[in-house]
Amino acid sequence: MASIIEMPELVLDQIIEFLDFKSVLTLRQVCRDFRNFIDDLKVSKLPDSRFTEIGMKVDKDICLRIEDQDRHQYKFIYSEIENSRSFNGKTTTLGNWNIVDVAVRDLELVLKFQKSTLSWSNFDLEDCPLSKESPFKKLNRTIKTKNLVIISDSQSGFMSILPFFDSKTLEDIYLNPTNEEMQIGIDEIVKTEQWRNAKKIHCNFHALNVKVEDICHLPRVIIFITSSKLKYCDLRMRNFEEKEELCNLWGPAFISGSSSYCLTLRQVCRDFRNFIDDLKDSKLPDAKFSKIEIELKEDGEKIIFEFVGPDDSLYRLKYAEAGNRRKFNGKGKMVMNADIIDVAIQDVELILRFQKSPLKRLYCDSNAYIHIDPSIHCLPIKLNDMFKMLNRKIKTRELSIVITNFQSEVTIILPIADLETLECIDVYSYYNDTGIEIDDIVKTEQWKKVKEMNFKVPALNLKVEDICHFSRFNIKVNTISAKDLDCLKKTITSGSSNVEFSCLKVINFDENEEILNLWGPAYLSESSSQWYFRSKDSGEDILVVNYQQDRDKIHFDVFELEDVPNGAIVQEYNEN
Amino acid sequence: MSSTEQGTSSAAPAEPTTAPESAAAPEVPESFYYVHGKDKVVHKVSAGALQHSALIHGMISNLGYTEEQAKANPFPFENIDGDILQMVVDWCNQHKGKPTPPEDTNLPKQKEKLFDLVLAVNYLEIKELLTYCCKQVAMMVKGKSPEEIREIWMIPTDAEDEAAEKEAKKRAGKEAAGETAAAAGDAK
Repeated sequence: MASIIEMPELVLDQIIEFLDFKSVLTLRQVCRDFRNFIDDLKVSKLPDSRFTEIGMKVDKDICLRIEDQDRHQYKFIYSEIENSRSFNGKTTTLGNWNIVDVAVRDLELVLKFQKSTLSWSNFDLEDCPLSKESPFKKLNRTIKTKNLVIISDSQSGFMSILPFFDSKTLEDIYLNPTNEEMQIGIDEIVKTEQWRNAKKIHCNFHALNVKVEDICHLPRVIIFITSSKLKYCDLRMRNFEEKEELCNLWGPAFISGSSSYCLTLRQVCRDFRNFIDDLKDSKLPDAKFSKIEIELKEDGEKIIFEFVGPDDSLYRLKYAEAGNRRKFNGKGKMVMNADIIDVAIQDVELILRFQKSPLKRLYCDSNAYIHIDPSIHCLPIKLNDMFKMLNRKIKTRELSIVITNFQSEVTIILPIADLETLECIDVYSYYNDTGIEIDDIVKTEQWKKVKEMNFKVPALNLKVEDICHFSRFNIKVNTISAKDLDCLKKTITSGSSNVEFSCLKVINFDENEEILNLWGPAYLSESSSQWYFRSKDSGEDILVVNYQQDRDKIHFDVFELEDVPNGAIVQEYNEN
Repeated sequence: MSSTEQGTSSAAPAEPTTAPESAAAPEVPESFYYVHGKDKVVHKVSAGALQHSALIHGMISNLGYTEEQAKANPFPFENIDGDILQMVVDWCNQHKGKPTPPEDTNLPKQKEKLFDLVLAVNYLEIKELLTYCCKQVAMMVKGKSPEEIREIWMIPTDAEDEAAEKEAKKRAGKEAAGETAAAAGDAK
């Protein structure tokens, strides 16, 4: 009768292919023939153990903990005193073997089956007797893991295991000291591929000899810096608590340096970030943006911020809901669990801290509202809330708002503009021909204060008294009565308004008769009818009302007397 | 048992037949070959059924035997027990010219038979059947402890094995015959 041991290798290979890794490990324990056979098998023939976590704690004893995808834990404990290994409640004496060697060999064996990438690896070398040599020296395998935590009290401790991790799969590295006050050099650590390829590094100790170039590549890094020797963009300081001193040192740099440098610095580490965020606004450099555009879109990138610098350089921040990403200067980044709107708002808040000089123009385009889900609506609302909370306003000379259908889209944005600086408001829409009510808009301080108003959406129920205060207006209305026009004329000629060059676009003007009755026959020039009125106290200045029938426009302009064409009648000012 | 049933489906193997085989069987009807195992019981098997075995297929494709020659020269497989060969022949007949199913439940459940079958099938190079057998063998020990596996597969522990080996060596030293030592190891 045949025995399994006599099976040809090819057959055994095939049998093993049908087994999961647990069975293979069990089989390995059955007898030395199997053990040798399995240990000699090529990795590709072995089943994947699909572990998610590996943890190892090395002190006098060694504990190896493994967790699989069903959260089952396997624990190996290697005791130095008893020179034994226990697993699954079974203890084996190790005889002449050294427990470190056995543990490392077991780790190696476990890793042999681990083909998928672990999500976490924890190596606690807190009490590891490192005075000797690295326990992992004999580890003959790379570990694929996304997150790596190492606890140690020295650079050599970190270095004893760090190089064994596959730098291509490694994303986040946490280097934890045994005591937070520790000062540990990182000059060797920063040279490793693992450090250079990581996406996020936490050095939760006081790192010595940090060089900016060693941390620049990291999108996220947390390091406690104790001392640092740098020139140019370098700093020399003992301790970060000496904020005053730092301010003295850095004050000039902040003021003369560009704001983008300051923002870059802010990314360097947590302490810089906190420090910069705590600085008074007056200490911060001016970003000197000339234009900011906020655009809400319906496709992939939902929110777009554009900042135009003083030298016309363009910075563009894009936020996409798909994948929860922010893109800046072409560099994408996940914003994790945060809402992109919140992230966008935070970014605006941060950037506006640096904006001291007034903008030429702030442009808010929410024109895509109509097509997209309501979640994006809250951006303007949150923006408004943020400014309210910060008690801050945007200084801009011009404010442009692109809207769809509601006057609330205007009233939510208007209040964020600083009254002192605001000179001009533009309201547009790409689709809206029916018009919007403006009763709330006219009540805002911004409406009352600005000198120039361009309202390209038909304004419903416009009252003449609401527009008299503009020096220039360009307003679209569906219709206007002759009486209102006369009223506007009277307000202007009486001197209570100083309109310069303005225009009403009247889509349907059907009171030709009435206006002729009121103002008398017009001077006809090409396709337009013109009336000339003398103002109350302004001597030579003549108000010209020019009705261009073919273009549905009524212009208000001020002429010098000598510019009035021959044959035109200038009507004297009449109080009534 | 079922070795004489092939007559019912004479047209079936025409499709899978390859060029060298049609040379082996110039007549339109199916050609047959004969095999026997340790027990010398001769089985008549169609060339179509034998195609499953890469070993036999390789042997017959160049022979060009006539019916009489084939009958006179059965293939001897002295290393395969008669009942095991019977199983193999049955399986080949059942799966003649058919796509093989993903599972085969007709395999022997007794482990002794199964191991012998695996060896025979491996020797005869019947790929699909070997896969089923290996799976069956693997299933025997899935989820079992090392002790249980030792019992199921009748494997001595290392200690026992070593002891047996020592004893065998001793005996070998005494009797100066390696053959008997192996037998002693087996008996253990």
